[in-house]
Amino acid sequence: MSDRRPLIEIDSMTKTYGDKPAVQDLSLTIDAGQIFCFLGRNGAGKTTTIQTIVGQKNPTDGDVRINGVSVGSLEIHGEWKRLGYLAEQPSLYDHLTGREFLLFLAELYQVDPSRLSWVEESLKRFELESEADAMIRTYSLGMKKKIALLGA
Amino acid sequence: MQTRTDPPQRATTIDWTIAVWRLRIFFRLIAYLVRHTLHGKLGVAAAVILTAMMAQVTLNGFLKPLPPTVAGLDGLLFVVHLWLLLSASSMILCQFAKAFLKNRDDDPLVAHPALFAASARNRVLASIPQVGIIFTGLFFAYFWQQLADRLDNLWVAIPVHLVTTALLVFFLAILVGSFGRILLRFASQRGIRNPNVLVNVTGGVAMAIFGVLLLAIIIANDKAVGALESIGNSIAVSIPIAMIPFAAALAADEGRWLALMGWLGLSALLALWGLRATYRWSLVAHREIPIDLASPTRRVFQSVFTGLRGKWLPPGVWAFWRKDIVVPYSREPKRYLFHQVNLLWWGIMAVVLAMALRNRGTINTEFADTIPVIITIFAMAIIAMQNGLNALGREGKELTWLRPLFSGQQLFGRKLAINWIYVLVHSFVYVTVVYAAVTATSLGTSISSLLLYATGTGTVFAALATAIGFLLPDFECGKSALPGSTTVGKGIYLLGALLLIAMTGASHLLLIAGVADAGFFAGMLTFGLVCCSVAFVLIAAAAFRQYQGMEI
Repeated sequence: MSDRRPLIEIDSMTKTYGDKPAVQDLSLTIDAGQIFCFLGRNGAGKTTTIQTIVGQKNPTDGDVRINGVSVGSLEIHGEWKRLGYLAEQPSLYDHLTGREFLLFLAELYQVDPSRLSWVEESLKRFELESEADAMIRTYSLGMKKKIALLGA
Repeated sequence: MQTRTDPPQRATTIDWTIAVWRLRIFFRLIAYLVRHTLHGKLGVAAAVILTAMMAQVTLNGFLKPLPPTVAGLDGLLFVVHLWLLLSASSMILCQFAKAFLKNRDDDPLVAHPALFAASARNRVLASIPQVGIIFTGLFFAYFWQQLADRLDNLWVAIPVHLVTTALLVFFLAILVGSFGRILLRFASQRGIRNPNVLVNVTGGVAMAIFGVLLLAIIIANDKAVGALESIGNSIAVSIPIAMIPFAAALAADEGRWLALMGWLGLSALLALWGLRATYRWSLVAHREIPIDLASPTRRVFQSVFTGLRGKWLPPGVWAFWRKDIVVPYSREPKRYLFHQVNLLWWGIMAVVLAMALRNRGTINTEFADTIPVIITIFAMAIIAMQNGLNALGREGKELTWLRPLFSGQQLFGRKLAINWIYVLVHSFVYVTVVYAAVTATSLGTSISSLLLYATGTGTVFAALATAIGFLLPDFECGKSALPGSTTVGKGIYLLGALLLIAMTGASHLLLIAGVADAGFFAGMLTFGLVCCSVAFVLIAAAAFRQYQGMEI
């Protein structure tokens, strides 16, 4: 039996917006390498749950742990760094160009300068090369989503 | 028995309820008539003018020598004037709201009326502290000094100075507000859709007016005394409402308690009027200047993110420096230059005006030498605010990208670092320009003291602004160089900054005038530093706590 802890653990999590419950007493476990599909009706709380995992929302009750670290602890930032999340409506720094946005994130994540060629390769692979030096605010929604995916 | 006694009791209760409701409807009707009809507004205006006229009449008795005050009266006068100061402040806020906020409803702009109003309003709000503080302060020193000096009592004179200065700012605001309304109508009729035009026209006209004013003072050097005195008399006649504090002070001083109560009552009504008009405004963040009206045009830019990193700073500092400082300013250099020229222009003009007033003997040499110090500190406060108050707010929803990476302390540390770098770099430029003006005007302020004050206060202002920006962010503000904090946050910062400016300026003046020794000076600065440090730690701690539980 493996002693590895689950990658993501949700333990009796409840999330309410005011009096309105969005998620009630949810518990689940996701192991590393597992492909997990999250299905539910409209308003069932899927987005809220994911946003709670990545730190955009705080659980009202219960706990969420990533690699055993609770999202309420100060050490969680080290674990969040390893997660990627593409939101339905990506928020991007629209005064930057697409290339600058990716290089900005690379600097924050302390990517080694020798590996920055990955940015150029990715822009080419996603067919964003010709628009990479234009401001993100001029991009179409599809292009913004591509940049957000690369950023994530 | 009960069936006989109950109906009359119920009838009494119902009658009483109906009477109360009738009374409430009656008062609501009055409130509606006063607030929303032309004759109601004219009535309020008439009441204010009549009040001012009564104050003017009362003041006629002021021109005789005052009787000596007794010690017990000092405290009462101090309270009276504090109350009047609050009343005047409320009036100022009220007039701000009336003059600028209401444009949203009644301006005949077809497209984006709120956009033009917000643009003009923010431009005016940004200009008021500069214009108001520098010029009303200096002109006040010239026009009102003699009048205020007649109150031979420190506890009376200080609040009177404050109230009068505040009221002069208020009247300047009304002038600027009126100009703004004319400008909006002009823009509407001409179909101007770009708020930059309004901003530039407003700024250009304001600079031209004060430039002409300054030129007139310099040219009419020998004749300035008579000319300025006549202007001062005109101002005094046209703003009689400013006489209320004097009238109240006189009434208290002479023991005319009924008159004093009358003035206090009127002030209370004005204060209520002002507060009622502005409390909603103070609870929310107003939107910043919206620049992008048309669809953005496609332009290509060379990337400023080179991958280079500083060795001595935490990772990410230079990335934020490029994102928050280099990119916005290099992409819109005109905006950056406009800010800098605007700030330096007022500073140079204030130094020149200080020279003119010193040469006329209106202010003494020590006071004139202190003005460049105050101007430099003031510029530091503005520049620290521009990139400090929006430290967190400018991130907006994009905070989702930073949240996984940084704790509140880590993000705060990086933002504070770039604000410190920004402020310190600019402090050298400002000191150079101000010192050039000081040298040209033969004032005696040394470059070393300017540099010391600029770097010292700049560091403190940047820390306070960043901390307040973290505690009270306005996430709707995505622009750099605009204070992206809530109205309360901006108010707290401005209040703290003004206190610090006043305290540092006063300490410097006392030192060079020989009134206080170096020990007192050092003590005052240390006290100020300790107060700022405590405030900084408390605000930052609250901000970190808030950031940890923040939802995006």
